[in-house]
Amino acid sequence: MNKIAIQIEGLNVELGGQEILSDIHMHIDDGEIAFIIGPNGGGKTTLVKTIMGLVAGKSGSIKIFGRKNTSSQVAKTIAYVPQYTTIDRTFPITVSEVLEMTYKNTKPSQILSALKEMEMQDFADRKISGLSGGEFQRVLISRALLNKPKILILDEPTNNLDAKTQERLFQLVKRLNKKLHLTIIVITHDISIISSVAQRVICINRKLECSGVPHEIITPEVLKKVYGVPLAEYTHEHGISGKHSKEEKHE
Amino acid sequence: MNDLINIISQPFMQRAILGGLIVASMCAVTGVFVTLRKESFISEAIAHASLAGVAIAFLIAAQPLWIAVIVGVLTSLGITFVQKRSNISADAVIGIFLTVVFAFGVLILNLLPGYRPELTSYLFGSILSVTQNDIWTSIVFLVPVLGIVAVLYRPMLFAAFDPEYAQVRGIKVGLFDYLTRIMAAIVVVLSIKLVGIVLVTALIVIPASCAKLFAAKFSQMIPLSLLFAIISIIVGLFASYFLNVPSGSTIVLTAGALFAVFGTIRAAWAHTRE
Repeated sequence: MNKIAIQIEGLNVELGGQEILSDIHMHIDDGEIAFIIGPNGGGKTTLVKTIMGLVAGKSGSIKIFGRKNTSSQVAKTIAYVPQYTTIDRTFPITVSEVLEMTYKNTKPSQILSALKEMEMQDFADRKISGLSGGEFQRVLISRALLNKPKILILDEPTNNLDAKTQERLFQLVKRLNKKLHLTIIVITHDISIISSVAQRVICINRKLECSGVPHEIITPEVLKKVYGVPLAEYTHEHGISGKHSKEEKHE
Repeated sequence: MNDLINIISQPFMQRAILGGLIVASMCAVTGVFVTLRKESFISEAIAHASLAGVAIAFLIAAQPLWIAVIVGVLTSLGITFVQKRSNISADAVIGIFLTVVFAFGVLILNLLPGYRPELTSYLFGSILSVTQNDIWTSIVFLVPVLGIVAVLYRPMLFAAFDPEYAQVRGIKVGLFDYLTRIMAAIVVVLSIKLVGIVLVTALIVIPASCAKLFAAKFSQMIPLSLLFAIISIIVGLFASYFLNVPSGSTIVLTAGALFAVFGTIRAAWAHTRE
């Protein structure tokens, strides 16, 4: 039987008096790549923020490797890669400095090793303002790897990335999963990449709509249930992309 | 040359230069974090609020700088608290505090009997207004401000650069929000003798922005910001003396000129590389 990385029982979350998540029961196995999908405002990001203790649940329990999600347990086990668009990339800071600030007394060899995992070692002295979206995303994943986490959470990592860059990113993510036995959770709108990467798909729309292996979940019927519109009508405006159509933004 | 030596030998100028160097180092250090956090407008609110502190000090015959520091710190704490506990946007909260506390200061000043000539120096800065007491007060605050940044540089930078992940990594981001703003309040208030309430924000924002134009890495930001702050203050002080105008205007105009010149050079250099 697989070890469970994250176990959630009866989770309810309210923000500003509004119910965001209702009675969530789910688990993610150790070493699994799990994708969380669902419409905008469905509570995907709130769910991972609650797992990390950034948002307080109203009721229910969250366990990470069998222990309550206290701040020390989260800091010890989870690494989080936020949407890179939330970070000010105009600031004059180098790739090495981004990694250095994360931990006290980080050694240059640790930084280089983390950058190597994402094939970014040649960019160590470059300013982040000169990186493309895909390169910066890889820097953030390198940073997340510094403390040798057991769980890696990626929040919409493919936003504004073109198909080629997305594919390269997920090749590296799959390699990390195998090499480091990392449990990886990906929040995404992009269903086109799920089948080739995910081992589990979790659909959230205020409540748990479905959870299972990709071929069971990525069907027109299930997706219509989750998003409320037929697959053919999915567009980016609905918050979902069924094909690679976005262009990487270079600065 | 003799003129210059003559000016520097004047005690008031020595106090202004020493006070200026202390203020420059605090502004350089704090300004880098304030601009990284995009909180320049907060220093404007603190500066305006400090007028209430000056007015209260006049009313109770206390040291204006100390009372202004207290009012400035309380204002920064108030802004941060309301911002965190309400759904009102940050700019609106700052706008409310800026105007209300400033209005309170204006009200008290109008209730005071007689004319207060020193008020002009608080509004626009004056090289003549820096006293020995002000220097000691600045030194008392300089040590903890630089000490805090030296000790907490890494988590402060992390909390400013990527607050969400910093929180996941166990850094008390909320605490750093308060700490940075308290430091900004202290620095802003201590700078008003030289630059004045109306113009003090420039000393926080412009040196750090000039530094941003040239820094190849973040570790260069504070030294470069310090360099630009010192040049602005020293050149501005001498210009104030020779032109017989408030030091606030000459310091800020010097800083503005540096930004315009180096900004143009940087833009031209970037253009040639494209």
